[in-house]
Amino acid sequence: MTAPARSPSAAPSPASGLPRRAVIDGAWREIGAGVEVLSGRDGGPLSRTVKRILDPLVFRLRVHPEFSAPLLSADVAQALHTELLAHADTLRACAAWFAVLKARRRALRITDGNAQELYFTVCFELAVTRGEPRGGDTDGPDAILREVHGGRDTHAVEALDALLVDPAGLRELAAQVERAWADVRPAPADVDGFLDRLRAVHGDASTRRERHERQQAWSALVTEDAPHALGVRIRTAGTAPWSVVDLGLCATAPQQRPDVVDDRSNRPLDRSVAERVRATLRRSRDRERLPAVPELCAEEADRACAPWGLLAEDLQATMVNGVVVGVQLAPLDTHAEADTALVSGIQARLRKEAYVLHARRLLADDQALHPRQHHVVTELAGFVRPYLSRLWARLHGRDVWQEPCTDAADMCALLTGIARSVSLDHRQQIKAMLDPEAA
Amino acid sequence: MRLTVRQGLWTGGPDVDPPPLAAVLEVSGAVLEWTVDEPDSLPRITLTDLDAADWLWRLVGAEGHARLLEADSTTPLEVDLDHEALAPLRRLALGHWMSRWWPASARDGIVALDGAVLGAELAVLTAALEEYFAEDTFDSDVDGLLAGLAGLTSYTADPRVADLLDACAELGDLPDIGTTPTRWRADFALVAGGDPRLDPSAALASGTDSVSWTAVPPGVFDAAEDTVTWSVAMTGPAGEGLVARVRAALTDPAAGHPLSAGIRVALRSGDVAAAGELGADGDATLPLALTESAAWNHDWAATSIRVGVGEGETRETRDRVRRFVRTRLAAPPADAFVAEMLAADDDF
Repeated sequence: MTAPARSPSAAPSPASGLPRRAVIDGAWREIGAGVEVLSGRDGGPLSRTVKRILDPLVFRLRVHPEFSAPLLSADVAQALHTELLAHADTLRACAAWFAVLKARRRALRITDGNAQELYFTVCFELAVTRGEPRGGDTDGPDAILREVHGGRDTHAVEALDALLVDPAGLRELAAQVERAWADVRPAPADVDGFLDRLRAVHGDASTRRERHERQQAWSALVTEDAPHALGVRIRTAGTAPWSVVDLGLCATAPQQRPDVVDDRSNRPLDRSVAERVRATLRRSRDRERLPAVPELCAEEADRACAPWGLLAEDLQATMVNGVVVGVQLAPLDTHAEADTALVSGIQARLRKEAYVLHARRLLADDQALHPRQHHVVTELAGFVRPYLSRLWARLHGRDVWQEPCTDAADMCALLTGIARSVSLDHRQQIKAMLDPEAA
Repeated sequence: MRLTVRQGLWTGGPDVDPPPLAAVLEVSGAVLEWTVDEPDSLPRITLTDLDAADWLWRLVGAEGHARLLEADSTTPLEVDLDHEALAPLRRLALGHWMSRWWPASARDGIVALDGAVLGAELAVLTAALEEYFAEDTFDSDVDGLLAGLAGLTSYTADPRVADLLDACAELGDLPDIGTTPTRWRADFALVAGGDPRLDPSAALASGTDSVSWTAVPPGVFDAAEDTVTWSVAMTGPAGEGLVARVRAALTDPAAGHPLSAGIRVALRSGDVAAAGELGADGDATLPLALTESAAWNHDWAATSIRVGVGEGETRETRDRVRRFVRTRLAAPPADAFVAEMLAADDDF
């Protein structure tokens, strides 16, 4: 089968830009000596250098989204190049700090975590605030390592525990949950129309024009009432197009009002308010930006009662979108048919990743190679559950931090990325099951 | 190479023979495949995530990469591949292939590869190619490969292995080497393979069959042909039950294998069928729903025993793999793995 070619022999039109990583590589080499510990064998920056240092701290992608495109125009490429070389001294100091911390890590016999992952950001901050490390100083670096590896801030967790044994505080939260749950009422919405219009954002978006249309469609969809209405329907038996049990969002259908302290089950929408807050505290690197624990709990009580357990409308819409995508995914099913470009793309990718298992003698075609794997392989067949569990957790995090999902490309990348991480996780489990040592 | 979009994914390169002949590598945003015994062929490339494949310019040049990022998915695209950049990727794929498909066999005299030594070399190769693993993939886990060094029990004095260990120590934290006695070893060298054939005198019928590699996990069975022996006989003091006894030769017949237990085994002989599971020693007893007289009248000539799951591959395919590794063992190529060279040394 061949794609309808225009004229395969025609001379390729010159590209209008440069691959991002190639630009970064070229600029990095101009820094010259002093950044070896941040570089690969060929002199380019390590992938972790790009991910942990350059993207967030040098290019500051949040402020300069133009720097994040896979293909950079000549102007942007030049700006990125300039930005990187403007930080050459800081990067050299950062490299020097990393060498110091790595040496001290070894001396102190620390084996916790990955050194690059843990120290790169810290080293850049040190380079900015203190410049080059002073030679021979071990007390300073050791204190930094203790801080990095030291216990997490347990203060907030303690505050949560204290609140959960305070009868007055608990009563208040319980009353709030009751009110908030009752406040969410069914309202008329064009659910069928919404689900139909969703297909437009799942279409092929390889051209600029298609991407523009997709964005317009998504911008309109996130303001519709249907995701809210669907979130209400899953609380009433027999009115939703899906069963929350099949989706893995609840242990029993329909969805019940969450409790303040007790989890109804470990399924996302069955979790208690306290457990959701605990998850937020676990995931947060930067607790100072979070409200104090009592406010956090009050906010979570409202959120837990909101449709899909999410307050923001665009995130509710993304969740519904994830359900529509998730129910079509089946990594081990050659006959699974997806109705849109986005879903068939994800499905094709999952199929390819499942093939890697077969090629590595970890699956017999699409079946477990050994009885030990049956459990995980069955789970892989019911892909939608772990898919939606992970998506929900991600969206919950975004809701807490008030990070929107209104950008269509971002939304598609999220739905695709969740599939990738669930697949990788599954495949590693399938592999682990065949480790003879793990009997 | 011409790239076209198939099922939403950019794909290019020749068709690759199915496992066990496919050497694959999963890098960030792509799966690369080669037919294992065609060293000069181009890979089959499947781009599973174009944005995540930020290394593409290394293979197809910045121009080619940029054109691909802008391409319309309905039009094929021609790119030139940098063969030099491909070589280490192919080598890594081959190493992963060896760790799973190397046809170690006491009967065939194909020495097993030391899994820990091979893992160490794969860790070093993966780290050296880190630009292809910006995102976590199935093959990006260097720490996992290093953890396998805990099973390194032999060859520690070999200078080539010592060099590898030094290189590994640069990559991360190594486990305590050689202090954890493994309960099981894949690299069981040539154990005298006593013929475990069942006593044919008591049998109504007996024969042999082969294990399909793609149907069973690696490291469990001797990879030679005709290693499955079966016989049909009456059991019990009064000869009350007719059974088929099956025995599959394991890599280490003396120690058994933890993964052998539970592997499916099925007998088919015309309209007679029976199924069961192997034990840890590679043996199974399958009850046959047949009277003794019917068994005497049955033609057992066309009996086949299937061990494991799925259709499996042909004997010709397995022979191709054996030829491939024997050629390498006889004259290790310049880029042979240390584990291969150790196996080649042991061969003499």
